Amino acid sequence: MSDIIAGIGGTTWAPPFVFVDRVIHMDARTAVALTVFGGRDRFAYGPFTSPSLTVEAMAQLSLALIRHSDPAVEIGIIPSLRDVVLRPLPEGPFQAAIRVQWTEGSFPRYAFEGAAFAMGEPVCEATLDILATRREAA
Amino acid sequence: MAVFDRARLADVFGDAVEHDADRAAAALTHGFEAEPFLAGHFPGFPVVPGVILLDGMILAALRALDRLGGAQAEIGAAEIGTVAFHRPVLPGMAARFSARLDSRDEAAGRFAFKCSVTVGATRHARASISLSTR
Repeated sequence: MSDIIAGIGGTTWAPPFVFVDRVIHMDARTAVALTVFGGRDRFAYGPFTSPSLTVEAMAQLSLALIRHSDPAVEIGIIPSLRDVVLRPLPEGPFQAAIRVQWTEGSFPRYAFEGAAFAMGEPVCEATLDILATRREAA
Repeated sequence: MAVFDRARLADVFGDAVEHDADRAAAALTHGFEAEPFLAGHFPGFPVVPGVILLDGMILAALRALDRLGGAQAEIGAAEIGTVAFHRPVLPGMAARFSARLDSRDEAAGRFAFKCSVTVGATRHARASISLSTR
């Protein structure tokens, strides 16, 4: 994994693989965001959104929360996931609420518990391990 | 609503499925080249996202389930105890997604699979995936 960590340093997610539209809450340990899935400019399997993509949204939101307390952190990867539950998603475009909670860890390895809700129903839960990169001080 | 749409997943991963003679395992191979998600993950250093690898393993499990008599069964939920990503899958690599039945509870409609992603002889990811039919 060291090659990938070195390779992605200095980059970030870009369309069509950005899955956080708007952060509506952020404190030291928790963040909540809204994202519309199934839109034209965002990756999906045609009109079908895989529930796995809500896990990607959790990962991107987790990095935003890490950067909130440590702006030198750039980006991260997911070395592992645990306790993932995926349930049916609505067909076509829909808005999901994504919530992550920083449960343990510090640079470079963190753990987050995530949940996604669509139309008021839970559609995904996951525990994410995040391995982050950080800008070196000049 | 379906948790996983086999046809749409096959749009990305292909539909050339191999089955073992014992009907308990399925595998499909996909060479990643220029899929749209690679442009954003990441610019200048494309890496197949882990969640895409997870979807490939889930599709392999769905195809194994098809041969177990669950063809076109609607999946009510998928549970993944653990998924570990050991090595990145990069454009130009042919990834093999495999799933083998680990246990089944037909009364509960629950089928558990051991899944992996390999490139050549090297394992890049593994997962324990349970599919619940309804």
